[in-house]
Amino acid sequence: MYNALTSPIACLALSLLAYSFGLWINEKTKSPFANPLLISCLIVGAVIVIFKIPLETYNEGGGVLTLCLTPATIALAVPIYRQLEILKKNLLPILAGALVGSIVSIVSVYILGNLFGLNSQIVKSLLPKSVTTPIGVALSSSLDGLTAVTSLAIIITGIIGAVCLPAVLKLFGFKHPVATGISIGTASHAVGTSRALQLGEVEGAMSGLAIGIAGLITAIIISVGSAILL
Amino acid sequence: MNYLRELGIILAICVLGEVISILIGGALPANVLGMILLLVLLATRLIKARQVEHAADFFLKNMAIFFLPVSLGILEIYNQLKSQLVAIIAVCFITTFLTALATAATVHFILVLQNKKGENKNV
Repeated sequence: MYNALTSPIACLALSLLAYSFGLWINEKTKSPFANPLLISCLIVGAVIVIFKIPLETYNEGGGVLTLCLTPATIALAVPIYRQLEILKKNLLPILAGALVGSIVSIVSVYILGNLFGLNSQIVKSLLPKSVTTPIGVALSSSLDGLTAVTSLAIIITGIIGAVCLPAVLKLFGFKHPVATGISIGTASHAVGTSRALQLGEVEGAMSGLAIGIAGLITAIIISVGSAILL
Repeated sequence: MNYLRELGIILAICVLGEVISILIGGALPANVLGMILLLVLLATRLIKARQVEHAADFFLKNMAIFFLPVSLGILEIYNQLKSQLVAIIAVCFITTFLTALATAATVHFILVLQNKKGENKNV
């Protein structure tokens, strides 16, 4: 009985249903706080803890999902290709914004992380926290960071971006839709972009492009940086 | 539309990304290289968007769930993490604002420069 309920299929079924439930809540509430990944994490996490299912057992089923991470990153090329014309037209603002944003993100995480006394492995895990999860997690594991910390920090960053950034940018007087869109996409990836899409079409398109471009730039900075420094 | 062929193409690009990553000594992660490779193949029309886009949209639309097992890894390290949780969230907040403001300021600066250049041309 216990074996049937903790089989790979059962773990996979639980994950898919918990995530679907999270999606449903998200659609009902339309709130960025109701993040489907966060909700499914809480549900599956609770089941694993309550029924004392070893994480290894869970991963026999859940591993199927992890396997999809690489093709999911590669798929990010398709939306960039679809917006290639918009990218060409705004190449300089997008590249410059994503470059400066990525540098500020990495440097500020490094400085603040050390200032707040985080241990070095956690600081490494947080370095790619502004970029889209598949790139961030790959970078974190290449730095020997804790991928779980990276993944959750990326979700938290996305939620902060979606909830606060439109108001923060307005407060500082940034009104241009191109600036707003690139800024939200660079700082808070796809979760922020879902909010940028509500601000307007230009904001959404710019934010969407910034996800991929900032991800690429961050990957290059961290890979080159770690090759030089380590 | 042939889902299996689309999936096959995307997975083959994953493998190529892996190979290139090994060849360049792991300087960039395989998935990032695969993404660049697919973008180049699409831009040069060696692969047409319709040959991959349905499978790609499936991965994009459901992106977040693929991180569920990785994120659950937090259960194993939660105890050693507990004392640093507040600091981690504070870092997330402050750096997200700094990143967004620096990006917006840069874009704003570039747009102003481009406008000036445009005006000069008109004159």
